Amino acid sequence: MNSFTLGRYIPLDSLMHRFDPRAKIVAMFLLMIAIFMPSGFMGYIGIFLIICIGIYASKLNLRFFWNAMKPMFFMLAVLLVINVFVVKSGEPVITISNFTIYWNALSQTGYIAVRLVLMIVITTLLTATTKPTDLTIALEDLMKPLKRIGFPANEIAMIISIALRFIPTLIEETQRIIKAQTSRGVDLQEGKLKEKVMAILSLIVPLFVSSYQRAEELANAMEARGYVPSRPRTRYRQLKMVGRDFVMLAVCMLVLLSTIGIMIWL
Amino acid sequence: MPIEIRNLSHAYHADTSLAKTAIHDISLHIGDGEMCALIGETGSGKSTLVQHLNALLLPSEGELEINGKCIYAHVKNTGLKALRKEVGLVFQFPEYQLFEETILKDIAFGPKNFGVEAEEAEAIAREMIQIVGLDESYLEKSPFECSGGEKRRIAIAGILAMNPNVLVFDEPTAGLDPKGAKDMMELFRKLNKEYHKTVILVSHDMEHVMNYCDRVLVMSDGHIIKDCPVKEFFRSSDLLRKLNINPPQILLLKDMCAERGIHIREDVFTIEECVADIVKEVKNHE
Repeated sequence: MNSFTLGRYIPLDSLMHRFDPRAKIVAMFLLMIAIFMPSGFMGYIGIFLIICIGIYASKLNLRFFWNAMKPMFFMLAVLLVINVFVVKSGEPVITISNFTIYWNALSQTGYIAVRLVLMIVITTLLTATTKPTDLTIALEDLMKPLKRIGFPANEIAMIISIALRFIPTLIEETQRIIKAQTSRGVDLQEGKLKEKVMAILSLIVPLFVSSYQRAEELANAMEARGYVPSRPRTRYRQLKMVGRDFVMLAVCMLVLLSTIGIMIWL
Repeated sequence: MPIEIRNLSHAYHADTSLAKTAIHDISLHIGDGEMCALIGETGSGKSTLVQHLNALLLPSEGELEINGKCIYAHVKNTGLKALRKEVGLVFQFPEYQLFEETILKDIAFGPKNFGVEAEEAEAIAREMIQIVGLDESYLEKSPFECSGGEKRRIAIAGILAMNPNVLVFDEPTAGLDPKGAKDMMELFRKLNKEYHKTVILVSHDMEHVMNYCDRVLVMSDGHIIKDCPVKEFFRSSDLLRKLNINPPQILLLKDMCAERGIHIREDVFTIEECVADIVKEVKNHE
């Protein structure tokens, strides 16, 4: 159950959930840029504080964020090992027989770890408090200016929302085909390499066939109801930015500016 | 090789807050060569039950014994693959499980998985394609060139090729035209009568249940609420109405006759016998 924490929407009623999705996406970008400003320890304190407020305002369980971060630890461990062997500058920290670990190896890994943690918390905060449909609507709105230079914003948004919509369907379909092939004697866990390749093939081919078929049916159904990709579409749900959205954006902007300030100053 | 189910229960997502018991304490005996219908509303646990016969789902409580092989709850069961060879499970819309380049290869896929040599598996495929009512010219075609009904026959041939003793069909006539559905039911009758397979049919079509099956199992909310011979089950429409099942046409006709004072014997299930009874009754009146 917990393996799908990353990117999952948690329906709650909180301030974070009520923010305009466009404001949330822009705020996420601002904070992302702030994270990558080399403003040292001071800069991260500001970002950390604002994220803590965000978590508090989202009413989400801290455990949820912990679960989202778990897959990253393995990567960090690998990174630490590589840095320890490659980075040979700064003060030596500890020497074990002939091997010396230097301060820069640890601090660089630490920096990356802090950045990754902050990034994951921010994106989790966004996806956990925003419905996938709202996210696509917001993306479409944000991409609107790009239409002038011929960027197909409507189409991209439609593609994203269709893709999101069909993830559960595909999972269901996969499970169904696994069962059907298992009862024909396919063993997905054991067997020689050749048998395994065959087993995977017996899964992928039917999955592709039914996906193509479904795509074609969906396209026909959409066209039958008058869908033309390039034409402007109206929406039932209109997004509207209100005071609190601007306040949030202003605060995030302030954080970004202060990190830039710290970077230039120091 | 009978099927014996003892106090079987199954819960999905066991040990989580989402735990939901799909079937409760089911005990059932299905003898060799029976042709059983399993009916019930969507979500009544039919699919959960039949997937146990193939060990795709394992019992949460209770046990089942198929052809002497036992499956228990709470232990790690072995030899599931051998059991899958005994019970051929044909899922709803089985045409979606086709994947090979040629129909020959696809039908031979099952037996090969169970260790049959390639040549022998192809010989089996040649035999099976005829049993399901297609000719050998199909064998070299791609399964994706065929029509929906043909694909379904090919998929069924793929299951038959494993030579299971028990065949389970989950709504096999869904989406077929009336002629295709009738042919399909005739095929199942042939498999049952000529090849002596035990057939378990999950169906919503009462006409098929009445005309082709010998025994009816009704499921509701995870329980078997009725288990009786088909003749008894369709004796009167009152029972069916109580179970929320639409009676077949012939029962409706008998009801209408009864309203008009024409009595038709209870064990009449075909239109011809019904007509004969009506004629006799009318003559009596005159």
